[in-house]
Amino acid sequence: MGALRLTNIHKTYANGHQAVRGINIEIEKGEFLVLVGPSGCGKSTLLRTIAGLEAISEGEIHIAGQRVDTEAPAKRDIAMVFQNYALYPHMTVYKNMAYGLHNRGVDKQTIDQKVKHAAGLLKLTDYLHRKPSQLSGGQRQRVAMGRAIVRDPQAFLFDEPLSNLDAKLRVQMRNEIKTLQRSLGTTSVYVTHDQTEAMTLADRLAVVNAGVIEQMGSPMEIYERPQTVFVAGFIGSPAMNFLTGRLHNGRLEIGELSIVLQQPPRFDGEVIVGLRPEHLYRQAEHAFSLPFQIEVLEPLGADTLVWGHVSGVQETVVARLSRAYPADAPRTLTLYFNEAELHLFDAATEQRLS
Amino acid sequence: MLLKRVHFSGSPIPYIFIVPQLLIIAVFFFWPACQAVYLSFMLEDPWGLSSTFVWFENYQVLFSSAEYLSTTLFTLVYCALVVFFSLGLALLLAVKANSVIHGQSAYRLLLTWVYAVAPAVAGITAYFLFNRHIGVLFQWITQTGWAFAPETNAFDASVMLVLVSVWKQVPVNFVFFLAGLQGISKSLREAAQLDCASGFRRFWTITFPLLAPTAFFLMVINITYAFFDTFGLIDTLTQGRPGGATTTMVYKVFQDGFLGADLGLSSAQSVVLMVLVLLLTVFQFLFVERRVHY
Repeated sequence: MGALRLTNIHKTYANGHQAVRGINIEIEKGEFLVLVGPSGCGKSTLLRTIAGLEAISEGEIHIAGQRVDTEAPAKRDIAMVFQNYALYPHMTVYKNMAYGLHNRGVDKQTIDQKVKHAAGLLKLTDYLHRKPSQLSGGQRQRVAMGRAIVRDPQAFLFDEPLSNLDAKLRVQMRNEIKTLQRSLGTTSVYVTHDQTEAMTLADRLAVVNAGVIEQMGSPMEIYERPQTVFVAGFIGSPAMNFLTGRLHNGRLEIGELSIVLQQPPRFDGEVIVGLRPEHLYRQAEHAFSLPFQIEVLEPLGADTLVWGHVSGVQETVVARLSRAYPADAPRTLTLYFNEAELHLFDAATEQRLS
Repeated sequence: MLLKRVHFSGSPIPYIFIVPQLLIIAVFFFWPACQAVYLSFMLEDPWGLSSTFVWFENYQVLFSSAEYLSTTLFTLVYCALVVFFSLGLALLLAVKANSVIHGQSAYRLLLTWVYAVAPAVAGITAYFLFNRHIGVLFQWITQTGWAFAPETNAFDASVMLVLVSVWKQVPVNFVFFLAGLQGISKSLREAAQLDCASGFRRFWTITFPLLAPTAFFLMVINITYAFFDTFGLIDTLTQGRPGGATTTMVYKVFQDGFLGADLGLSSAQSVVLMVLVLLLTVFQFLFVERRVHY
């Protein structure tokens, strides 16, 4: 029995917009599930229905075996961390953390002990008597975490908690959240549109699109075997290259290129060929080759992104080449790739062909 | 270090810029105020033909007058009631209107409407509503068995006055409270929903403290209203009747000065009012504002 079980969740707004269209998830105790998807895909709505901030139109929500979808948010034994922290500006850090416990009738001594413990974990001990307005962004984020931790709930719900932080702090807080969640062992659901955050934090990743889950699995599973064109394009940065091609009797044709696959899927017709930028190599040890016309170079320091065209193919192709690529180098080069790192999708259904 | 203020050293330009403002203040405030202080030391005959310097005699007469004492008491009680009920009612309406999802603008419009009515017009409207012969409210009140007689009964007249004053002031307060409520972020209210199951408790521990700056500001506005801006209402509704029982301090200044032609005594009352407003302002900013979170 999972710690959090969502059964056939539907959410339709009064104006007829279907934000969530039949989602089933079962989350194990202590698991870190990340819901990732573009904005407006319904991931935040789903999280808010778990919290009880929005009512579901259909389905059931069970937390620790208890059906909660008709309970008030405060009765569900969950704690939520909001994007803009949502700290009470008129209360000190201490009171912000104590407020939820106080309202649940916990005695003063226990509250004090819990708040101080959480403050210790989050390095907030020196700031307990400050107001939120006197804290930095990262500290406010920690207070928001502390407010969730002291409650010792069945589940943490994170609603894009790092979006308001700058890039450096975001990486730091990401690590802190992961470490903290591991050590506390609290079941967590985390919503983000940032796929780096999603990949690094998740035990299990659910890619949400248009109110349904496109694919669910471990981050590496999703990276290596995306089931749909949407998932393939969404996970990975820069996004996967998609080239239209034809598959006929195990022969794959892309533009002027024609290769014979060793393990072709049983499929004849139009296909979408996915190839990640990091799976295009300059070394000749890989099986297949592409003539490549360079148009733009984007040096990133450790890597260089090379944008350009493959002859006979409409789509722009990007390759991530390791190390710096000299700007005065020849504008054409040959790139190599492997069959194992090719992703083939049916052009009509956009589903993976295996 | 960067200077936050702009410095014009020795230049007359900034003074020239504020001259119009200073002139207006001087002509319409300082000069009359000085005149009032000056007149409060004089005994002037009603035709303005002679005036005598009498030191503090006007103040002595004023402070030994039982009538002035009762006027002061009435003003304070009236002010307290008007402020309390107009703020309380407006807050209640604002909270209710804020939680309405459909047709919120219709509620807002209806509740704000009264604000556009001038005090004198409001007073006349109320005069008709409470009229013994044709008044709708008068009939409702008498139907409850209350022998309502605002012409002769001091309590009834006060009730009527407080009622009308509150009605006139609620829209202003409502608009400000509603704006204050809508300024509280949605996620903050949601965080509170997760932390506290009781809506009543949530209101007093989260919403109300966050509205405190608005409430403080409105309290200042409302006290000023009850003291000074109700003149039009009183003048059209009761004229201080019965027997001066609904005379506020401001209305008495008008009565003694313009109707009684006792300029000295009237000016002395103005000076008392000035001092009172000054004290009130100092008190509010020293003691009330300190407890308000901004």
